[in-house]
Amino acid sequence: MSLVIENVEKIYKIVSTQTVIHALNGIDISLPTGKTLGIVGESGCGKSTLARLVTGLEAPNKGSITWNGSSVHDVNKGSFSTKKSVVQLVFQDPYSSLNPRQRIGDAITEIVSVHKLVAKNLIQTRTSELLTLVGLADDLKNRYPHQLSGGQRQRVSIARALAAEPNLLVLDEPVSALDVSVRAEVMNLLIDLREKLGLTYIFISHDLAMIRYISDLVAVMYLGKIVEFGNWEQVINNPKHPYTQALIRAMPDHTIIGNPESLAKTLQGEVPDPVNLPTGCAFHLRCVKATPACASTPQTLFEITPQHRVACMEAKI
Amino acid sequence: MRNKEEKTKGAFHYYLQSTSGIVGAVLVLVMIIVAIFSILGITPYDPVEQHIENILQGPSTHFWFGTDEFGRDVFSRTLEGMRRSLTVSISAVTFAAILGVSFGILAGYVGKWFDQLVTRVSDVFFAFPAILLALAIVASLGNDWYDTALAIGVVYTPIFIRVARGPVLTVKEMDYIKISRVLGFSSFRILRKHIFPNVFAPIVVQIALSLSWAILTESGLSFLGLGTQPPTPSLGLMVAEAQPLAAFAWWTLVFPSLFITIVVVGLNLVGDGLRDALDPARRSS
Ligand SMILES: Nc1ncnc2c1ncn2[C@@H]1O[C@H](COP(=O)(O)OP(=O)(O)OP(=O)(O)O)[C@@H](O)[C@H]1O
Ligand SMILES: [Mg+2]
Repeated sequence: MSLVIENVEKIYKIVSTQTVIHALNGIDISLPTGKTLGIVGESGCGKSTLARLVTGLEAPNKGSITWNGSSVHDVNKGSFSTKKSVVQLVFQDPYSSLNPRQRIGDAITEIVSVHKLVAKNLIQTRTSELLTLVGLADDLKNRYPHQLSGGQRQRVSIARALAAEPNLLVLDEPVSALDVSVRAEVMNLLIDLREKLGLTYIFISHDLAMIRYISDLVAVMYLGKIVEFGNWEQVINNPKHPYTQALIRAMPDHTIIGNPESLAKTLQGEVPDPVNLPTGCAFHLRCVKATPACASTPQTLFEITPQHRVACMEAKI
Repeated sequence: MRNKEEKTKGAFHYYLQSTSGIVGAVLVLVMIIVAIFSILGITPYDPVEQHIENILQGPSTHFWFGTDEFGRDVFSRTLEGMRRSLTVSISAVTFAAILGVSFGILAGYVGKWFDQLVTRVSDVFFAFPAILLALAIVASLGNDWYDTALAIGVVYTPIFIRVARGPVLTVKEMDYIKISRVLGFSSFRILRKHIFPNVFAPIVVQIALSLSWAILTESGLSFLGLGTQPPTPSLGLMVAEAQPLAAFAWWTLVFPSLFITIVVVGLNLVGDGLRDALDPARRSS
């Protein structure tokens, strides 16, 4: 059982300006059940786009995304006939994630009853069970979203995702909008739930500290491509790609390389425009180790040690 | 259940804090009661009965608002006219709201060619002045009250399309709509349960405002001779008929005009009050 993402490309055509945005440029990932894949990268590198594709909200222009061999796009729609979904989604913004006019209890009950996940007389029990599961008191059922704190709302969003009984949970920056004080609580909740329910996670963040906390595998993305992939010891303790190294140097509490510096300091220049991708390696314009060859030779992932893959010819040597 | 009450009570509570809302509600309520009197036949006289011996009498204890050139009781006719104005405009706005809101929400949600089609068609209707468009439609339909109501309804449908479509475009982009889709909810459920409740407030406000415009349009049509036909009274028709008499029989003009003004101003104030009560951003707390 696993999630397989194969050679996925996604472009957005902007009709008004006649431009084409290359949001994803060939993504290959294989994620075994029960594991957590952390995806990290700067704003605009395509993390949320990948999340939308994996949840079947949008279809890729090229390539395929399969869960146990069937396309997620079809399987997530059809699967409710078998009373379970495959993949669910938790977003970053706890305010936009809940219908402001729907009470918390109803927001959970709706999922359970629409898909007839339990017998009618057990729906309320199931709702209470889900609230308890995410550490919320039962009397929150009667509240509206604006009567909850950000952390509580995010727990409700997690409970709603779990109500559909998914195997895979895509978490798109689930704690980024929260107060630092509640981040750890929600992170620990996610880890508990993973153990308890045997869930597989895709955890998206631009914060390597969060990624290190929760992930088994880490993918570093840059301009719609994965530039480094491996387990977290490999990627975070022994980064090989200059971009990963820059990200890690910018980590606030890093203990790996030198003193923390801001990302702006460790990386020169801006992320290039995904409308006009650079030739060769997409990162060469900002790379401290770039050679003339980098401007002309596109880089693909290759394995340097088992499981650890890097898209940089400097790392090959 | 308890919370549902709390919530409606919340909006009502805010409504009562708005002075314009209260004044407007009182004005409109009085006019509705007046119209109900007419429906129940509780008017001093038959509105079309001619009292030949009492032509163009000023206001008195017998004829509170005086009589017109046929000796008809202006008070009874004004009540009957108000009933007619309200019947026509409520029917018209009901028609416009149901049609406009359905198309507006669908256009916003479905998007693409359907949205462009709906928007274009409603823009074409919008380009005409309301009264001219209503005139053209009434002229081709007829003079029964429901013809007038249909014409006014068609004229005000594009406004409801706009009012419903705009907020749908915003709400559609909210994460909870995307999550609803990943959760496998049907489009019908998403529209009814997750989009409609969140675009409801501006629609309610628009209903109040459109009612007042519809009353003015109905009066305008009758004034121009294309709405209610004599001898049946309508506020607009009474104003038209009173024009040549106004110089020496002011009461024939003033009372129907006053009633139009009261109900129109009242509905506008109700609209303001609703806007304040339903929009959390405008609430002062
Ligand atoms: N619906 C869309 N239409 C057009 N362009 C889009 C659309 N969605 C995303 N993009 C573009 O695709 C690229 C990737 O966007 P995406 O939202 O996936 O980035 P991200 O990594 O999630 O960024 P962030 O960290 O800011 O959330 C960006 O250049 C973005 O402008
Ligand atoms: Mg994002």
